[in-house]
Amino acid sequence: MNNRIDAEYWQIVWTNFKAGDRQAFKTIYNDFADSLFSYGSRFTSDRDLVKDAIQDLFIDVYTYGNSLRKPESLEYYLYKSLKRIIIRKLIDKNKFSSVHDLKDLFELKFSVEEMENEEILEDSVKKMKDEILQLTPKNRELIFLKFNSGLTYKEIGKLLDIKPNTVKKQVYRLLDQLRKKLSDDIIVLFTIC
Amino acid sequence: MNIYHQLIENPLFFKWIYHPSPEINTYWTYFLEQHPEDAKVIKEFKAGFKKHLNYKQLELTDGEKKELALKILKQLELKDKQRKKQSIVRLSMRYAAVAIVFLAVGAALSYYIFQDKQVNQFTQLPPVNPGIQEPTLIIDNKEEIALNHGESNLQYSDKGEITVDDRKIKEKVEPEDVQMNALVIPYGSRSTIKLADGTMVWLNAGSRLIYPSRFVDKTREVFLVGEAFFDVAKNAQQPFVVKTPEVQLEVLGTQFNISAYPEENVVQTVLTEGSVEMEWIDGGVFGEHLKVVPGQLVIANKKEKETKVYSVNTDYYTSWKEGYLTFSNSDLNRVVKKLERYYNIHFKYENAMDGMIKISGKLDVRNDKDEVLKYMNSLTGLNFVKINNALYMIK
Repeated sequence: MNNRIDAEYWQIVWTNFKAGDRQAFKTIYNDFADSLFSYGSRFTSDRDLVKDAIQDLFIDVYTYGNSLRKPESLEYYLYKSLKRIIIRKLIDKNKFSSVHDLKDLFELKFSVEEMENEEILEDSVKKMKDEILQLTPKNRELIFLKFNSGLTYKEIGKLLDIKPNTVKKQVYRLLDQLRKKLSDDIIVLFTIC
Repeated sequence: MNIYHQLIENPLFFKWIYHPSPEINTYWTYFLEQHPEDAKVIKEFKAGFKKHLNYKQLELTDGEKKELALKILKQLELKDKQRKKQSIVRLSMRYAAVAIVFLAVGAALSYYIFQDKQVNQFTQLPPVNPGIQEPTLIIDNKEEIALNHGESNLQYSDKGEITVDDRKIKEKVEPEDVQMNALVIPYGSRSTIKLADGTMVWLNAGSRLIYPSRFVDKTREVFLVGEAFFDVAKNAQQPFVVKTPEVQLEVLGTQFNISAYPEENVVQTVLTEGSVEMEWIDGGVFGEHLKVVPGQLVIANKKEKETKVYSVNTDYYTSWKEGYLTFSNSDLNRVVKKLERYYNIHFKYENAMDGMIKISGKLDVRNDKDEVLKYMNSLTGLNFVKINNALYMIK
């Protein structure tokens, strides 16, 4: 699958949407509403707040979209804006006094964390579990974005304010354990470039 | 890149695991069939994710998704009503934009457009932004599609499908759906395009071609600024017309090259096959039609509104489409101008008189430009010295 083509496709849809094309709105909505909701719901369990935020997001895109020069990618713009809107709403609701309190706010639990009975777990799975238990909310957000979006390392880095290379390393460190479990080879096929 | 890398770098892999859909599943079924040697690893890797890295999905219900969509659309409509007031201003801006394009390609053109009493399809031209510096396809003034630098290749089918460099960007459309398209090719790039009627066009650097996605009128009309070689599909019932700001050519089925750059004083037409009728757009030269036959070069002087006909070796005028420039006893000025367009660079003469030197030869311009310029050194006895990426001195 060619990411460039995908990016160009969205560039076209984006341009049409900005020109007021309703079909383009539907395309964007149908493709992104679910993943945006899924992402937004990690910050709060208040479903209505997330839905309102998505609504605001699309109105914003429609209203201000024209003044936005080429965004890096439509997807990046959507994620970034949704996060901003949700945090603003949470602050307005006085749930948090500042953005700082929000740093521990990304609710994501993986199945391996709930596995008990340590004796029968393979070494690599144990390691993966340990690895995951140590993940900060920010790193969990990072992994979530890698699994759930087409965002590039650079874009994820920008969203979370970390270096793109750190993003990539974190992804590979986690998945290397999974890879090791599958391969009896100890040879590291898995070098980070 | 090993297979794990490939999977991790492919967003569709994660989609397959966490958000499967019939399309995604089909994609991977096909992928596994194509890569049987990797199938086992891929399936195991996926199963590993499912088992260890699964997480609770927080999803909208279908009902919620629809409800939310309706809410948004309703609000968008409200926004639209507020916008209506502005739209009148916008409409006139649109016409202004059209006018600007025409000014950019020469005052004669806007004169022609606004004099034309017929409802000409070019009055509804997409307002091509004169500032476009990248090879671009503009569909119906809405979609802007970036094309490759250097060479690009476009095809229109008679059903309205559009393919760009072997990639389909538009599926077939309703028969009555005809849009104006513009292909903008700046200096340094070239393009070929197969139009809906089967006509092939080679578009040279610094040119734009405007054409309908399908030819439904009595004549097949296209609009050209710059240089193009046409191989027109034969259709006696529907003549093919190439309009430029100054002259128009009407043909039935033929091959010819036309060079109509706004910055040049003349429009040059060379015919290699068939026949062409040429006339001035504003009916100069007593509104006569000039018949051109193969092997002839017609030079139309824009200012004097005069045409001169010469017999020539047509290769000199058409070889650019094969990637080389040929010339015989040509002014260095002309050759340099062609190189400027081809490579999107500028030349300055230390001694302006050098531009009058006559040279003959053949340049394979697909070569690296520094190679070509080295060859120019030996051909002219002058030195083509690189100042920076965009500027060269001729000493």
